[in-house]
Amino acid sequence: MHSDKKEFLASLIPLLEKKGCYAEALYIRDDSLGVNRDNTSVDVGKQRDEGVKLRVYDGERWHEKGVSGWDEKALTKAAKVLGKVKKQKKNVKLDIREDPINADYKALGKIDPTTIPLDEKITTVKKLHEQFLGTSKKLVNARVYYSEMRETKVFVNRHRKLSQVISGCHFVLIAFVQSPDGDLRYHYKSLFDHGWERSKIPKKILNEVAKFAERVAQAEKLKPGKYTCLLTPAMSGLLAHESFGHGMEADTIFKDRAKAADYFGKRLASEKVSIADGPLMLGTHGFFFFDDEGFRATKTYMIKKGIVTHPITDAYNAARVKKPRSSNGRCESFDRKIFARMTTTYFEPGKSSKDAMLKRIKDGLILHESSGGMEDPKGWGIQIQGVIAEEVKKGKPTGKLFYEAGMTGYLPDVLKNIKAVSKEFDIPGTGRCGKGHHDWVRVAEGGPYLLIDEVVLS
Amino acid sequence: MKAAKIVKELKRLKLDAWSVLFQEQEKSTLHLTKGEAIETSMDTKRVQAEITVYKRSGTFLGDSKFILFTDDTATIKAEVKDALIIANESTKPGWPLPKKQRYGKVVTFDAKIVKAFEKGDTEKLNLKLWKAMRAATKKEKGIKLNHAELHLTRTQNTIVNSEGLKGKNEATILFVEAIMTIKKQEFHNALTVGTLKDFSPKLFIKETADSARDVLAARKWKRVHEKGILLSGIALRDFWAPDLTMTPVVAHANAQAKHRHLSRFDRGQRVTKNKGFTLMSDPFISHNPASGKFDVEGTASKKLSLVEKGVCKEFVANQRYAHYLGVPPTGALGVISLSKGKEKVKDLREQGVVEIVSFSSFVPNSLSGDFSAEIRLGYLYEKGKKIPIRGAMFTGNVFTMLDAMRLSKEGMEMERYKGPAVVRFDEGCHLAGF
Repeated sequence: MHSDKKEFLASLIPLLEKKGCYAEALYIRDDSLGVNRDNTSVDVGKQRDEGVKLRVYDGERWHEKGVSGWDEKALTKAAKVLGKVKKQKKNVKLDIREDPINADYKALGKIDPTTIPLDEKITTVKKLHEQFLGTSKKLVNARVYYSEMRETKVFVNRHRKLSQVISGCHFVLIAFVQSPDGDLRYHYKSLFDHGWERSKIPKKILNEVAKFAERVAQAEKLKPGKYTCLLTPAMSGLLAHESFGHGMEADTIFKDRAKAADYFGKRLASEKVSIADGPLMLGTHGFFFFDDEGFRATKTYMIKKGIVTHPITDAYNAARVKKPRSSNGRCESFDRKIFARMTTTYFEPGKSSKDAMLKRIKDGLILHESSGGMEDPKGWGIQIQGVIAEEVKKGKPTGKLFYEAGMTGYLPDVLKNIKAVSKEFDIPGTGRCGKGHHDWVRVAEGGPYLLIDEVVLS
Repeated sequence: MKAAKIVKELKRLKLDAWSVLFQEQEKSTLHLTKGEAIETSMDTKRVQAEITVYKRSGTFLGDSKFILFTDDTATIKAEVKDALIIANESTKPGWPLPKKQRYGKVVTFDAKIVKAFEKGDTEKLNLKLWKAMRAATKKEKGIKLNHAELHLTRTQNTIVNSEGLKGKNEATILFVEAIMTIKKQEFHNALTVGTLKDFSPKLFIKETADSARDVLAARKWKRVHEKGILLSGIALRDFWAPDLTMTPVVAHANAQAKHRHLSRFDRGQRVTKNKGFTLMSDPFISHNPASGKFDVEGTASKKLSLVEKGVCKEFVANQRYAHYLGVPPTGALGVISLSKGKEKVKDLREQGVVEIVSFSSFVPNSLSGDFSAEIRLGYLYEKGKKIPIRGAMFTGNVFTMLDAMRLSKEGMEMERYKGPAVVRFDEGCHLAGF
């Protein structure tokens, strides 16, 4: 698989390493198909990004060139220019694995989506839309969006020749509703798997999305305050990702931008709490076999049984912070930098049952989902916006929803206030994560249900 | 890869209609770590063509887009074949494609940046800017510049279609990001400009350092505050022209949203009882990165009054949705411009008000107008003092807030925004911290 590309890129390595530096080459091709059906039309589009990143490490820094498409002449020229980079005397040694591997990997699901004719995909989306629309008369509009990805990567250095092809079938169901005041609102559900088998969406799910949207239309604003909350896997995943994960990125730690640096080996939460990151979970949106620096997939415990353990790393920053490498060196595209980035991030499951946890709430909320969040690695402040919450009285949900609340607070307080962790576990997150507001990579997040006291909401 | 070769092949294939957006983008970036060391220097070149093919079926039209990184004839032929299948499967009521246009005048490139790319001197230019930032940092006691990025970009776009349209645009951008830390706090600042003249390393570093000091000194906000919330600086820009989405007012003044029943606006109808609210899209502000001559289809950009004196006047519309709604096509959205008010900033800053200057992130719900955003830095005006605050959640609804909005006489311009320097809200929002 991709042996021509591997061999060509391998032929560039001696050119790149002419002056004694370490070099690597990464070919990336992202193909995607989007089918969008709403009440007004069906729109279908294809996207592609393709290019090669050539990198030389001189002992102090990376020198990079990016060339779009697959242009062997331009790549040879770029390799010759980069090959003039001299090795520096001052040397921060990277942990480059020297065990030779020549391997090809693929994750295409049970039914490779490229084996399904385009008209069948469009018909499936149209039928789903019809069914979805039929679930409620209160929908102002309903949208079914199918997004198919096929990510191809070829990594080559002096020790390794790797390739991977990962496909993804992503369905997003969005129900638009109107509040009694005339405000437009929406509720959505996102479903992901590697293969076309994901297209089998039970009517029950369509019905749940529409009925929940009807309730969102009636939702009120939440009174600011501190609440006992049951976080769903979507919300616990967001907390793990935004509030904790970003602060465990090795570059952030090296730049003295992360409070976590003061906590390695120290307790931050109870024994019930473990937070991990890794691309090994097949069927999640953050899955891959090797990262963009050719490092094979690993699982990293960022918190294990309440103790802060390892950061997630790329090669350069692992060397800088003197911590082990992990498979988190990732870039958005051939013309963006590789950073230490999360993959699939989650709280590990616990022993409690979701229902028992719910019963413990006398007067509180279920936090169902949110529209997103923002990191604050230095201050460990929590910033999660667009939260949809449901009232709980005497251990039972009342059905009353609150719309667009904001969750804030101090992360160590929130982690200390985790009272129970469920055995039920899910990774529903299917989004993209930015470093700040740029450098987007696909990720997933999730976990168990969490029962937390004194959650600050406004 | 040559645009002319692609066009020749598309003409040869005798399609019902087609359009090509040919893009050449060069980038030169410098990533600095811990203020001193260069972690990565990178030069990249992206050459790509975004092709749209159309298939007519009576009064219906199907369209399909794809991207090419090669002008190889066999590849074009194969991609067009696939695109025609897609176009056939996605027909909808037809619309006219843009014809030859006259484009407005706006300067979107800096000759010095262009020259640096042509001479291969962009790394030198980035280093020069970096050295000036470092020199400025040395004057800031107790503060470290722990992260910086400099990105120079030159983009040349050419649009051609089967109806005789042809447009060219060249744009340059300098993006600078810095994070300065002081003891246990930090401040993140970023700036995107179209010309080197609009970036002063000294001023940028001073502003970032001052804000970092204020974040360190800031009180954690621990109560609910409703009346007298002011926005200025980056917070004001993000409120009207957020980075990751559209402000709800612009999202609703959009022909596509209207056609899809996802807009609460009607042309000629009142959006707010506030007659001082006029919001425009201005694509002709030179060197503002949001300016541009045409949209992705080549339709000429126009200056638009989306809301005039509180009444919805025009919708942003591409060719398709303009045709569906029977409104004129408008080209791309430009700089969000708010008309200024009549009050002085000092009069808006009454005692007891809170002024927010920076959010951690501002991503409103474009559909409902609701938002909740954490305050990275703000100030409380109390007893004649300006006291830094942080940590509260700013929550509200953009549409509700318009009614009691007050705008300053003094103005400012930033990337994507031009308008009053300070805006005050007294309704529809609150700050809460615990």
